[in-house]
Amino acid sequence: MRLSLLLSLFLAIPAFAQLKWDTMEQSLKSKPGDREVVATYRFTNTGTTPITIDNVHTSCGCTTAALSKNEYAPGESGQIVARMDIGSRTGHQEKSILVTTKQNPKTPTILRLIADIPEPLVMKPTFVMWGVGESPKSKTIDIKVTDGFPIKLLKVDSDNPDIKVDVSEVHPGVELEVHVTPKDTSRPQMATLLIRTDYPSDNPQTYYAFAKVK
Amino acid sequence: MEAAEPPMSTVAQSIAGRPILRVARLLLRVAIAALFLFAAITKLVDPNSFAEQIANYQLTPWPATAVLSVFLPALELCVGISLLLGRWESGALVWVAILLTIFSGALLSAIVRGLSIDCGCFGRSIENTGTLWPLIRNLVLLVVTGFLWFSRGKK
Amino acid sequence: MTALRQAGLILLIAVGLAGVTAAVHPKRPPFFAPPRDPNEVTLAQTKPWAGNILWVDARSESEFATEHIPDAVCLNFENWNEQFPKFLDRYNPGQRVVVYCSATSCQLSREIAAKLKGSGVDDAYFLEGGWEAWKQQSRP
Repeated sequence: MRLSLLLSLFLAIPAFAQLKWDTMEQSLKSKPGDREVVATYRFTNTGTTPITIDNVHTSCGCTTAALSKNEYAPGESGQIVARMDIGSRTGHQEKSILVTTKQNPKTPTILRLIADIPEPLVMKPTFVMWGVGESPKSKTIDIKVTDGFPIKLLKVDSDNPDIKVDVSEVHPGVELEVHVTPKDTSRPQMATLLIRTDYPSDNPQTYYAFAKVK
Repeated sequence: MEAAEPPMSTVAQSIAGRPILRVARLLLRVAIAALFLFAAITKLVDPNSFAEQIANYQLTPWPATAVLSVFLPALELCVGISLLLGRWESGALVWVAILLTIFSGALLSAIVRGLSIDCGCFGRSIENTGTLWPLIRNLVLLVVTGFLWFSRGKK
Repeated sequence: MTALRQAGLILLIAVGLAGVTAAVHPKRPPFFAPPRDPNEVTLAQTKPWAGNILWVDARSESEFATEHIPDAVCLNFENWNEQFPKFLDRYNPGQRVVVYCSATSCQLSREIAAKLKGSGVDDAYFLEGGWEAWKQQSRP
């Protein structure tokens, strides 16, 4: 390969932002009951001129990124604190934070927040429905704990006495079949089913399913 | 080997006489072979995903992307095997240089064009500093390739 | 053999290998157009469903409040537990549920549709182009 070609490729690289990041990607795991996932991205201005961070933009409304100030002198360090709201998200989540500087607007940095939000149990389906006048036959919701997850299914209750639940334990604490039966379907009704668990021990979570006559 | 071989370059001559340089040369050749074989196999496992990665660069229309997603790893595999076995090394090195140049060009174009952001949700995009290191790596490999090329000798 | 000849031979073998791969590989990419998620629908595809469609807005409540597809119901990850019962108020089994968010690049609609499917809503789809696509069609 000719030296001149090599050199020209090298020189074509644009001047990169002087911000040096401790890490640009963070992987975090959350626990059931956690409301958010927080990651801190530290950086230092390794250049000889001041840097102004003029925009920090996240890929999702669920993620906020906070910066305490915008100007960083040469040698100065700072950090961006990203918070991702978990809400009802589960599984693998990847969110991005775009950081733009005034000095290098065309070469933003992308920080990645990778979260693994465990799904301790799977409910299928999460709701059962009857039409008014439909035969009030029992319908089943299957609840199964994710393999190896240290959670126990304790109890399932209905908040409406006219829609009853009858639980068969396929595997006590691990897999349950919830048979839901409305007393009658002559009028619209609804019930929230509360599935109580023992995990995590400091904040045991309750999960919800729904039954409706409409 | 046929008679129409160019005479050994001075680089090759100096290597021929120094066993330690011959070993270094062998290691570099095998290292590049391993790199290409690894690249080829990871892509051949799932050409569909590789096609989507190529599509991210927004340089080729989809049918071309689909063809490349299968052809590029196949080429990398052949080159890797050739370098590993030491057969048709010259031909393999030609492809190494071509492939490295093409990949570097694509990386550079991605860096220069920046990213497209749509309504604040920018799914899979190419990170800037995520494209810098591969670019630098490719340039280093080009230098190594040049060395391997100019030090070709009799086999 | 010259370098060029060798390179040519390598090329031939690579083309052959590529051909075989393209023919038999289970994960080969489609040739004419990029692979389509079976749960993705275009606005045109939803037209025949008018009358039996339930639109779900996966954006934030404030974006929903500003404007949304008529008769859409808001359902997002932030307020799922409060909004899901309201979704159930509107949903009738047999309806086609189509989730949308802001634009093509937004992944929320795909994720909410998947969550709905997992919850027992069989006919849950997400709209290609999202809210932007809807606004486009109502322009003269």
